[in-house]
Amino acid sequence: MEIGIYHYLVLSFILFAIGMVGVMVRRSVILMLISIEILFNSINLTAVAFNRFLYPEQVTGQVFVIFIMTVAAAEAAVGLAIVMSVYKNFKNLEIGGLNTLKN
Amino acid sequence: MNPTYYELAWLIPALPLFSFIFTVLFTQKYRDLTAFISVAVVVASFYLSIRVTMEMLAGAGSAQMLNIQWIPLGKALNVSVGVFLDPLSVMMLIVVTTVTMLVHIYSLGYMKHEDGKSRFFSYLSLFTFSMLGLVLSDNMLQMFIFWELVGLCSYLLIGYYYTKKTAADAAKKAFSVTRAGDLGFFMAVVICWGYFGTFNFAEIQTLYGETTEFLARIFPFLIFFGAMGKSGQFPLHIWLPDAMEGPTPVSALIHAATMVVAGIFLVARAIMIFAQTPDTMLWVAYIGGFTALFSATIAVAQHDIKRILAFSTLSQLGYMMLALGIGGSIGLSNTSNGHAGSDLALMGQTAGTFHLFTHAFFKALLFLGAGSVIHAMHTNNIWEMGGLKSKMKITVWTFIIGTIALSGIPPFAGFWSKDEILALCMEVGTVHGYILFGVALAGAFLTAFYMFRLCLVAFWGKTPASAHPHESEFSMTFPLIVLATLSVFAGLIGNHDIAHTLNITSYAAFLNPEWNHEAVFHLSIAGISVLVAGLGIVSAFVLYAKRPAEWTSEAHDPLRAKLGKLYTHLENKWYIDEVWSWILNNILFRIAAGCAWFDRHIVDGSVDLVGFMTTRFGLVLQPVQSGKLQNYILVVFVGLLFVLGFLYMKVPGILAQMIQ
Repeated sequence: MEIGIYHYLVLSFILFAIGMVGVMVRRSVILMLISIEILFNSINLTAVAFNRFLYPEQVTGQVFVIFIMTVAAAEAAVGLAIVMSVYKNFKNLEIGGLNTLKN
Repeated sequence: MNPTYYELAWLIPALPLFSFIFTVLFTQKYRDLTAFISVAVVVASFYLSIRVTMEMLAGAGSAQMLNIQWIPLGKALNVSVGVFLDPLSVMMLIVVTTVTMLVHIYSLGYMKHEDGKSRFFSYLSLFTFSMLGLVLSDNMLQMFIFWELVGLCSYLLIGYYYTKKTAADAAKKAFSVTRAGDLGFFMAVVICWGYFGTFNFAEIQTLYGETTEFLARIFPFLIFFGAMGKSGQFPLHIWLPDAMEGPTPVSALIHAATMVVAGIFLVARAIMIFAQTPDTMLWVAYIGGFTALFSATIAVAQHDIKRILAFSTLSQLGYMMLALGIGGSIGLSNTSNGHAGSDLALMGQTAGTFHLFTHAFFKALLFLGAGSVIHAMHTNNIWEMGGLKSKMKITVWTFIIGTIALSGIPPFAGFWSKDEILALCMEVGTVHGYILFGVALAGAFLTAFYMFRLCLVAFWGKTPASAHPHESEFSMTFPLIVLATLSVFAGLIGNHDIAHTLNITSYAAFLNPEWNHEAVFHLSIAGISVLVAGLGIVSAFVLYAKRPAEWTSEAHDPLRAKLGKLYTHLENKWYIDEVWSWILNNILFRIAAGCAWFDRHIVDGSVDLVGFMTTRFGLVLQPVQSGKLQNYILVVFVGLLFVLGFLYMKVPGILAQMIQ
């Protein structure tokens, strides 16, 4: 069986669903960050798949993916730094316990 | 080329303003310096006024000297601030600057040891500025502004001893009562703008003759309402006796000679507008006549030296109003008793303002004399005084000169001016004229009586053992001497023949140069008025000349037994204060309470309701904003799915389009 665009899209959809559910139901901040990374990767996968199968002569999708990966790396660094700081202050990474930050 | 003094006329009010600003900002700590600056400035103003008067006498005529466009709004509204010199304003300049200067000098002595001397002199400067600005106004709005300013100064100076409750209350009373009158003046100003589109007196005068609108027609009446408040006409007179709580120089300056005559000045300034509505003028005349008699009756049974003088002032202001009113009561186009209505109006203006002119001098003299006595005796009650005539010679004799002048004995000033009013009443020749002649005559009798009662009780008899009166210092006696001189001679310019003999311009010729009439003088009327005044003096002598030493309080007044119950009514000022407080408590305050309820519950309530609804609506929506990040994401995601699902259902083939 030849691997076509639909296989990629289905995989991407599965990844997206996993990531989305992870973001929504996980209580730990670190696990939410990991879920967000999964979401990014599902998007990346879609982008390269479309690039590869629909417009093989262009590189737009690949360039996009590289940008997203860069931004995601930066975001992960910032996010983890915040997580460290939160942990130092709260000794806890439960997202529900952080709502005192709004005050 | 040197500027003429006309061109410098703007300095006359500007100098005191400068003095006020300078002393308030810089010299409050240095009491003597403040006093010096104020006095120096007012002397300069006085000098300039004299020079301006001399130029006017030399034939310079009326002139608009300064005209600054203040609010230029094209056709809608043009407000200018100007300095307007005409005989009437120049006459007022002389009165105001003379009395102000003398009162300033007097205050140097009177206020010598006061802690608030700086404050006092600064206020005096502000007052001088306001009053001079008022008399130099050429339009109604400017006059209204200065009108309010003098009211403010009056308030500040009555309440000068602000730690004393009676003084603070009197200040508030004066402010609110005159404000009640000012409301009428303000309405007149608004009507002026609405119907005539100008504030200039001369322009209004022409426009007024053409209008038939009801509101525009009643506008002189509204002006008069303002004049009633300021000049203490019944029933708005109640503030003036209480205003005597202020320092005596203030009573002399503001509450006898200058500010209270602002109402007279206003009516005199607008006389040609007023004279176009004879009904209003008749009203003015009767209010004036009633006030003249009514206040004189009260003065008979008062015991506070300053209050007697205050009621006397009210009475004399009544005379002035009477003169203005009866003169204009014929109407401009009618004739009466062989005189054209316009001539009678001008005669009224002449008589009223001439009485203003002479009254300013002798009433200021009387008040300053009273101040000197109070300074020496430390009491205001005439029954606690006595035997002063050998101890305070200058004060007492100048006071007696003032008394004679006020009583209307020739050749003193008051005789000429009061006589002119009486003669005018007869000249008008209507039944109203005769009635008011009788009223004025009765007032003249009472005036002579209460003034001599005051003199005899306060100055004759024996000095109380506890008091050690002594003559006041020179700065206080000097103004008395000057004013006494003026009280003797100032009246002479009113009489045509005497002025002619002395080769000076008579008052009537000065006030209206192009009008070739002269003040009327009838020997018979003069004779009657002197007779009546003499009768008053004799009655006073009969009752009070032999004042025994044991009459030491008001309970011993022999008049008390003679008048019986009436005396109590007089002593209580005919209960007008009580009537007012009843009206205030039972009517005005109830209406106010109703309005307050409406404001608090209906107006505030509706505003509160809006706020309350907003809060409640917010509370309903509050759970949505939970602060839980994951809820938000859920909502966003579900929302996104919903939008996508909607697009998929509604737009056929959208997925295919997106992929291609």
